[in-house]
Amino acid sequence: MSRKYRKVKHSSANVSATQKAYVKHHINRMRKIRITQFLILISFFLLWEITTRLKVIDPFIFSSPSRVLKTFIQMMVDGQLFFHVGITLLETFASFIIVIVLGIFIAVILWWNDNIAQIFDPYLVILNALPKSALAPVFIVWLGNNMKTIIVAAVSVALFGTIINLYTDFINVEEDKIKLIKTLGGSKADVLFKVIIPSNIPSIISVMKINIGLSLVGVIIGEFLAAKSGLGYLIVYGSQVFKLDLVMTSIVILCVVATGLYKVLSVIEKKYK
Amino acid sequence: MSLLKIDNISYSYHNLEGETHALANVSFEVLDGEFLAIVGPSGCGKSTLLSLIAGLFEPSNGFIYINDKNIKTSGKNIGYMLQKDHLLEWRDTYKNVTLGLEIQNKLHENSYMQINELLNTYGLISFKNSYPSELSGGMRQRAALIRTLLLEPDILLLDEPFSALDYQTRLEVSDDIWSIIKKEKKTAILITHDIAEAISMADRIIVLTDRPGSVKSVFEISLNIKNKTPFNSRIAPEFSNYFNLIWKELNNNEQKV
Ligand SMILES: Nc1ncnc2c1ncn2[C@@H]1O[C@H](COP(=O)(O)OP(=O)(O)OP(=O)(O)O)[C@@H](O)[C@H]1O
Ligand SMILES: [Mg+2]
Repeated sequence: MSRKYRKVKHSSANVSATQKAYVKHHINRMRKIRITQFLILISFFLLWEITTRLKVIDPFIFSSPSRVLKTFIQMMVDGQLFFHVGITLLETFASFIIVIVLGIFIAVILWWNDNIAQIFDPYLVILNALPKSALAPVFIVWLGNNMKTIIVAAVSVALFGTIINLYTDFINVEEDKIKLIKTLGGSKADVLFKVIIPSNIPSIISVMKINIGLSLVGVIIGEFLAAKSGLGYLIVYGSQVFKLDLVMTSIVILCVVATGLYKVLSVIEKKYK
Repeated sequence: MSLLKIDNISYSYHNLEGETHALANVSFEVLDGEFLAIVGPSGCGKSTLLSLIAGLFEPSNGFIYINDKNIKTSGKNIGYMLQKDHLLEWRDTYKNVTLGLEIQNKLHENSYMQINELLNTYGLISFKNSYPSELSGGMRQRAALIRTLLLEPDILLLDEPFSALDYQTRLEVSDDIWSIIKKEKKTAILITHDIAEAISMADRIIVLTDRPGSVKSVFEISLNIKNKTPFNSRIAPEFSNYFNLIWKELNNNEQKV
């Protein structure tokens, strides 16, 4: 396939007029889409700023872009920004790594032993279906008002879905590929390391992509309930003392952080394709 | 002397819907260096038979011997080429052909020469670092054969290895693979749906009955041609006689249903 692809690229030295027109049309369309996206963003902030300035909506409750910017700069100057973003990122990465490692490990065990898989199937389904935010207060009681609770809460949000997804992908690997390894004299461990894991790299990466978002969700829920730092804490604290500037600024930062994390994994995913 | 002896084997699959008798009382022998073809109606147990010979599972009844010893203790290697090449897409040609050696921990410094030699002989050397998606159907099949040959099997089992190829490639690849097998002096069992392919390649053909499969008849093939290759065989004067004989045998097999 990639040989064909190379050929296409090669022949682009003497493209026809219609092909040129097509490409030009495409580029134009993409440019228009980008401009529109940018305009929407600008008008949103403008509308927000103008309506609060004209007191159409109350800037005390809704904050405003200029107030957000001011808060942001102030937080950057006094170091608060890096501290809270750092804490949230740390907790997110920790939960993310725990979920991935534990998820792959448990999925492998389930794949390895069919009996274990069948025995635990209903429990996994229940744990996956349960809204994990219901557990957070329990974790606080058990583990205390600290980072441990937040990470456990975040792990519980993402773990069970990860196990179920990976296990399903593992058992759906083509039966004949397994037969191949056996015809070459391979053991079950060979099947695992030569076929199951490598053929599931794309699905592991897509699970990671989902999990980085879920871990962040879990961490924010955790920080709402049990924290003295982090973006989730800032949002809750800000709303309790009516510092809506702080709340809005934290939400904007959260948007950037979430998008950043997602982008990082998209880049990793592209590398593997 | 017979290298492989199939002694009255039967096999049934079990699942909750019921039992499937796949093979019933199959017996035959394969001589050292012989090329045997097995034809039979769809679902009559041909693949099951090869899996049993390869030792992937045990017959419900009967025994399989190699050199008069049980397959497990014979110390003989059996190479099994599945219906599709099953090259692993995430490995390049080199890593694909060495998969078996890697699994059996036989990949040494000095395997390198032999691997390159085989890749060179069978026209894959310049595709050593290409991935399976970049190979043609025939190349993929040859890579799968090299993967099997590197384990130095004493017996090669081929389960419809050409069925995924278009007709022209199929003729070319069966010529290639046949001469590789003959050159390496391997004993081979070929399963095929294609009677012409069986006659053109085999020294002997076994026809199986409908499921549960058992040996229905055996044909010794001797074609009167010089420089036998599967392609040349098709123009031998006896070819169409064999074809008609086996065709009839297979068809009245199916009428019984
Ligand atoms: N794992 C299995 N469980 C239950 N039944 C099976 C299983 N594998 C094969 N069978 C059945 O056993 C019979 C023989 O199967 P087998 O694959 O050996 O046939 P075959 O002669 O190779 O067929 P084909 O020519 O279509 O490749 C078939 O009826 C098939 O449905
Ligand atoms: Mg078959």
